[in-house]
Amino acid sequence: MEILLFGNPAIPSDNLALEVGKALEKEGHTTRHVNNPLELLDIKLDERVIIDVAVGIKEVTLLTNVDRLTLGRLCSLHDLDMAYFMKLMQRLGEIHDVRIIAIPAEMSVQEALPKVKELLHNI
Amino acid sequence: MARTITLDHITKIEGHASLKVKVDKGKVVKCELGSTEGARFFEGLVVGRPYDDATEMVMRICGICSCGHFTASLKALENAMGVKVSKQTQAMREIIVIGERIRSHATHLYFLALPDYMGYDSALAMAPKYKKQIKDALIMMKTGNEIVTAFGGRQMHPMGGRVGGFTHYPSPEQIKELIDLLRQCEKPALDTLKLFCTLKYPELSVEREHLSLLQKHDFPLLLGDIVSDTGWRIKEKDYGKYFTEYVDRWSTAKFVVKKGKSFMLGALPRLNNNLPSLSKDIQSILKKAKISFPSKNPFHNNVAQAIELLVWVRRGKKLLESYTKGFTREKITVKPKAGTGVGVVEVPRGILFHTYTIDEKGYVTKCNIMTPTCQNLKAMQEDVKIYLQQLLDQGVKKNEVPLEIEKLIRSYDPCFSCSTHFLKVDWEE
Repeated sequence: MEILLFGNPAIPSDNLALEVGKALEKEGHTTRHVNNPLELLDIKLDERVIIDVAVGIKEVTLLTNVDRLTLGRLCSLHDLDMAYFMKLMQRLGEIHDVRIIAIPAEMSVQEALPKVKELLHNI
Repeated sequence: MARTITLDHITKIEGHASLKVKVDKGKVVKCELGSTEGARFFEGLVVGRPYDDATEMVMRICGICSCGHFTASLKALENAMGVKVSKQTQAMREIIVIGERIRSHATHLYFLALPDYMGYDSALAMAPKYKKQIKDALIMMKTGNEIVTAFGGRQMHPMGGRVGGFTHYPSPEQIKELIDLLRQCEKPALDTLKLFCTLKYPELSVEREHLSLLQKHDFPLLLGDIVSDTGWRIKEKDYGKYFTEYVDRWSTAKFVVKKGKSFMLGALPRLNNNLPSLSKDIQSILKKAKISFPSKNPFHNNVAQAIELLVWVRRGKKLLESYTKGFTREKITVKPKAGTGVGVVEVPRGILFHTYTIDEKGYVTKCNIMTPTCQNLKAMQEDVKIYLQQLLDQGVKKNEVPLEIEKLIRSYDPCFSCSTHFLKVDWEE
């Protein structure tokens, strides 16, 4: 199952999913870095797992309900992020069964990796 | 008793701005529209840097219009150093900015402007009922992204070109894919125009100059003289004689005037000044919708953007069809030379000016950039004052005023991030 990774490699507080993804690639997983949610338009999201960094959680968490994602104030389309896009896709009827592994922004790769692997194993 | 209206944060525009108006005995006596974003200092940052660095840096002014800053900067630097580019380079630059224009217009029309007219708070709220429309928007936005990526190497801040030409060329396979994508966009773009022709726009007519570039036989992109709907026409290098920048205490963005007066830039002036370029089928749609151009109603900027969306989809496809066998790799030879150059291009929101002075070693000694939002700021401010008075005279309720003002400002599609800058309304009465 392809794993979609979100984040900005240049920003340390936002590149954790990408770092975890690198470790998962070495173990044989197929990953893909998504630069812009529009890249997901032709992808069947119900058949993928998304990994992204989140704030407001303490543990690596599997989210299956898009409504649990909170939106920042959308002031401009500079703010079209993954949460906005997922909610939009849900309202358009394009996704039904979402799996998002959320990693706390302040967690280390070493701490996050085993927990991510455990969740992936159980999906 | 006087009252002040404060819109602290105008949403659904690019960036941040605020508006303070004062109403006394039913008359608008003060209107101050300004940016609340931090100063950017790009013009100072590039001084002392090699010319190639300048382009890399200034395109960071905006993620939405990075290709516009990329092309304006290259054009100005080339003019400064006497560098001529090939026909192919010119065509590749046109295609990349067409990609950016399609992405920007589709985004603005569907995600920022349309919810106002459909009575929704956001495109997200509209989505369950208007699935086709939102999907159309996403397809066009994605196509714009793909074009920019194919030519620029990534979705924004292109790195596929430099002074003198391109270093990155899309393959014939990529060109074919882009043509297919643009073909798929033609119906959504046509439907967008028909949709925006059915919306009910407020009546507002403001007499002021509409400026744009004038490109022979087509809508302007990167070439042409600067013209106005009054018949005024100048060469791009002479812009400094007519346009003046100034700062007001309530805004971190500069204001720009032409001989002391406001003017309007963007899709509407481009359309008004280039009407003969309009295709027969578009003219027929407008005629059927009873929307006539030239128009001085700033709300019609949205219709003009919808027209352009279709124009750019078609033109992008036509340009790419000329290069189905791929592009020829061209050698770039640039010898630094002291000089000053002006680069004037059309970007989604209007004319963008870049000027650089280069020393004999190719280092930037002076830079000046005037973004379209800075140039439109005074016109927006004046329009808000006129429209607010119109609303007060019509007895519109106070709680309905902010949305109406926001709609007006959004019709300009301002990019306050670029001009350093959205809405905070301070009501004072």
